Amino acid sequence: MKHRLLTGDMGFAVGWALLGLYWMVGAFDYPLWSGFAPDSGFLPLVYGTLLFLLSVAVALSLWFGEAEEEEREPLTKSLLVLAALVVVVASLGFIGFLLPVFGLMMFIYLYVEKLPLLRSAVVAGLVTASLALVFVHWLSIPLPLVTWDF
Amino acid sequence: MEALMDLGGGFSTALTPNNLMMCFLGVFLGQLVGVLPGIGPSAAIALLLPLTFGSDPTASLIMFAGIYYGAQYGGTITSVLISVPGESSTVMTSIDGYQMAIKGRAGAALGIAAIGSFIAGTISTLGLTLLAPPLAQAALAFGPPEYFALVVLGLVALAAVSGRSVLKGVAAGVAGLLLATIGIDPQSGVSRFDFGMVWLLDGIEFIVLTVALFGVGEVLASCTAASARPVAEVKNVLPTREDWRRSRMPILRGSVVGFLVGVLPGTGATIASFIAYIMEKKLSRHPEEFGKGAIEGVAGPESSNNAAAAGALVPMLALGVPGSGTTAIILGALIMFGLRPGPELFTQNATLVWAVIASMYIGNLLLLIMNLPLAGVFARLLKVPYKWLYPPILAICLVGVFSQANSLEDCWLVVGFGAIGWGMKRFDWPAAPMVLGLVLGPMFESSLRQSLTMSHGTAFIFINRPIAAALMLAAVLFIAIPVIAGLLASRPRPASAGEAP
Repeated sequence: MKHRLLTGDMGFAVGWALLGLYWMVGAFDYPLWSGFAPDSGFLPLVYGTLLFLLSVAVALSLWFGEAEEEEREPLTKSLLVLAALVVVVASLGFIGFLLPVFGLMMFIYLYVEKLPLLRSAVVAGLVTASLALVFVHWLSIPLPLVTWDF
Repeated sequence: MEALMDLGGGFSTALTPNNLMMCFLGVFLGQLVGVLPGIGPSAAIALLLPLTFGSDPTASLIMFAGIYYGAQYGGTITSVLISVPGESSTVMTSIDGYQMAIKGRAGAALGIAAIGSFIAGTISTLGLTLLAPPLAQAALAFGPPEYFALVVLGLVALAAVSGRSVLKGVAAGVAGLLLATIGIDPQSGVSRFDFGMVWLLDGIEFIVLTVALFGVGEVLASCTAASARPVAEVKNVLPTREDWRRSRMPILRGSVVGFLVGVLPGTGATIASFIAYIMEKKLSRHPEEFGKGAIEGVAGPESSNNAAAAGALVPMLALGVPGSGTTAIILGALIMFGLRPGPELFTQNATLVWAVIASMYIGNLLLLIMNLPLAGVFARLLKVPYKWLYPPILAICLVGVFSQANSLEDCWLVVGFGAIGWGMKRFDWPAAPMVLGLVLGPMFESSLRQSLTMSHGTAFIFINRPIAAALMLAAVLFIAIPVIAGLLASRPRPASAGEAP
């Protein structure tokens, strides 16, 4: 029984249940009813309760249901890409947009996917240049810039 | 007759050079994302949303619709050539289509799929032309209780059929509604669940959640399986006379079935193609050929999934209830452009609606022209490994999300929700109901408040009014039928019943 408690599936369902619980408790900070109609706290309370109950039901069905012998993809590559995204977003405010985006692509091509350097640099460079052309020049989006972005 | 006159007006708008170009771009991109692995029409529309922010809504919606039905064509190519359905709606095509490819008849399979898709797409767009306006007209009598019931039906219908578990689908829809409560309550002006952060006062943007779940989440889930596969050669895409004789009726039947199934909220192209395949197998004089390369097994499902794509636009345009995950995103795009989805769309934004419908006739023709001579060219795209594609997709997600509000916080949200989207994909929680919950949340809340104010606080208003009651009953059935069917299926059978001797 213990292994069913420790699956990612179960953790995910419990996460949703906790979010529902947070909303349920938080809803009481707002008035629930005013006149004939619900006030600001009513629907968050309903949604929170529903999400909590549904997620608990999912968790219970995982616990008591037949264990699925489904093979899942390994986590390493996805986690590496996710970590790279976190680093890139954290650096956007300091070194602008285009360099981190170029770095993200190079990191994935070279380190995660082990692709050839020259081809990776060409593809990453072309994509970065295209993004700059479309967003900065055509659409005039004020991407955070520093001097060495261009 | 009035519909045909309106359609004429729609053609005059759709045939302007700019809209024609957007239509071509839409169907081309749809075809492309249908072929390329790991990116579907939902993700493609999500990625393009930031680019269309502030541009002409008609042109943008013509492009989004083109991506939606164009992807059905593109998904066929992967199903036939490498037996990997590019879209869930082309799963059935891969059974006989791939067998035809093994026998050296990939060209004929793709050709009949393109012709069938064109005929079905045109027939179902005609159905959309004739059915949507009267439906919208009838729905103009809707008041807040009917709108509330409609939102409930839309959410429940999509949640009930999106994944393998009704429970997870409904929970995902509720999670979307819950996220919609973040920010300032438009009625009372109270700020809710903003965690003391000023940038959350506007709530979570639809684009941010959509790009996160369908862009970043999809990439994180798919990047682990980024390998290339051998691709069959494409020759002689024009079907023979015998192919055409065997495919005529499956195409017509698939068109009708697909349209009718597509019109039902929450069903969409995947279920339509399943029904068409089963129907063709039942009606065939040679059912034993199915699964071994029967051309009817390609013609029926392919026609059906294209017809369903247009059918799903009927409830979306006429009632504001999406028929599938992708139409849920198009619905969000309508709201993003400041339009109110639902019956009023046909009266207040008639030019836009009819231009989109007219563009679908044009788009289907463009797809036929593109698919017959260029099937081999699109097939070559299958040789591009996904590992070269997904890093640029991530880059576009980040820059695109930033561009819609110039907010770095949105980039953090996209990474956070992207991780959640990855988890949802991994553990089979459908993402579309969550997006729909976020989109429809404000309408749900305002119509509930208005309804209860009208009824002096009694919920009987949702039962006393016949249309609202019927919609609520339909919503209950959408939940109850799969649950009861699941319970019946899990009951142990008596040992003597139904056993083969």
